[in-house]
Amino acid sequence: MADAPLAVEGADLGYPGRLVLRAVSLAIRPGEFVAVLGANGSGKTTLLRSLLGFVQPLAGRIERAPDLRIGYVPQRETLDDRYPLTGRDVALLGTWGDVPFWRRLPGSARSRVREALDACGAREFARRRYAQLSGGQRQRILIARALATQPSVLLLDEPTAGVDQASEAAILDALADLRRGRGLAIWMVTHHEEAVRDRVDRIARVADGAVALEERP
Amino acid sequence: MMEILSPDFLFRNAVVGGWIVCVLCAVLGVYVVLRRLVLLGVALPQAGAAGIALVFFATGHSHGTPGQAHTVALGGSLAATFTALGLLVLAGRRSTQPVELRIGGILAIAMSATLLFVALSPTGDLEMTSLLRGELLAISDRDLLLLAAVASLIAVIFVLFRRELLLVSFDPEFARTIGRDPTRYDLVLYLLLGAAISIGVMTAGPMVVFAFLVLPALAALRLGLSMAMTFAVAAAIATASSVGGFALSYRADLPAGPVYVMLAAVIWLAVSGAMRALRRSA
Repeated sequence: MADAPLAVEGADLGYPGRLVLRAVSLAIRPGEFVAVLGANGSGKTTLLRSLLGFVQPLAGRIERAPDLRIGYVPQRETLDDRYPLTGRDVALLGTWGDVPFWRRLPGSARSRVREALDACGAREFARRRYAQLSGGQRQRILIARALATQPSVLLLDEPTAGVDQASEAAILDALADLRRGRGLAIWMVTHHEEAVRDRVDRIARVADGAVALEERP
Repeated sequence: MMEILSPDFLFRNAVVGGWIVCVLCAVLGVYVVLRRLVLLGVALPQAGAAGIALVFFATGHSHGTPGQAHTVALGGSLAATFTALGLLVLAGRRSTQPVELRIGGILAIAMSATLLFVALSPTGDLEMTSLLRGELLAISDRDLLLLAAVASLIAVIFVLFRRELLLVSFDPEFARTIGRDPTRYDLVLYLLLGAAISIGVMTAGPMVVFAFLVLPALAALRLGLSMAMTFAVAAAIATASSVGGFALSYRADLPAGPVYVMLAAVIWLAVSGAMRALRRSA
């Protein structure tokens, strides 16, 4: 686990009074593509939230490299359509973590967003209202926002849920390109095993209160 | 009607004071509407009014000059508004119930407390009732200066934290991943709302404050503009409603507050109707 930007060592994960996952040990390796699979309620989201640092382990530990930056792509349904934001505005949020509140946004932040939108194939529709974009287009915008944070690890929560097959393939291709081009470690929660099986390096199966990792040939 | 814009106009302070309160509430109201805090927009002004009634009841109206009475009332409004906010934040940390339930409870308590304190007040019901309704026409130079100073402070903080406020409002979990603590910036927003509501209730009354926290933002959001333009349009609607409303109420000899609110409501309905018609024809 020495080179891992993020490692979980013998951690019990869950919430006070509710253990969800027991004795989890795993390491996120640089540049790998991992699918996190499991039934509804199996603990996938708890694992993701623990990796993000939103949930503290009940026992054991989660170690993060000091320079770790996680790009997080939430389920798009969690975002409110009524905000008057364009796709580009949403992607721009990814750069705000680096700018103190009293400073104006530097030009470099805007060019970073342009690059991120290009990398996700989202530039052509980025000027449209976020609320008016299709599910697949919104997902690309959210991935671009995560990229704009300049992450070393990308965590995605069901990025292909509710999108058509063509959009799903396009999103998975874009992720594979990002992994290759930028050396990003990508962990993605999904229900679609068929769609990801041939694209990922490992599968993390979450079931019966445990996480089992399978290497892909 | 143009005389109300003259510097020598008798009720200049009322026009300017009402305008400041309406614009302040309209801009902050964009977040009240987007974050579905409308019930908070009713409960906090009512808590402020309960605070005014409480201090007047507790001190027996022995405040000397009208200026001192205003200062005492402002203290009561601020204390009650921030107590209500504090209770909501503290209870929210331990509760799994929706926040609307706690806000509803605070609203019910504040409404009944206001009526009880007015009823129990030994003297000066009239003065207290006029303070509770807001005293636009009685704003002194000193009150206006205080109002302008508080409003400027709120505006500066709002502009300084504009990015953080949007970030934690739109996507609090993403904000956490980039090092912006949603709790901290929610607190900034609540403090700004609390301060604006306290001083607004004192100046224009709870009805005007609540209405301007909601109506201009609803109208501006219907237009589908950018975030910055939404704030600007909400402020413009508040300006038109308050200055225009004062002119209308002055001419027709009607109470200013309800006319402000009706004008803002007419603008909201007109914008909504126009946007619906545009969408149908597109």
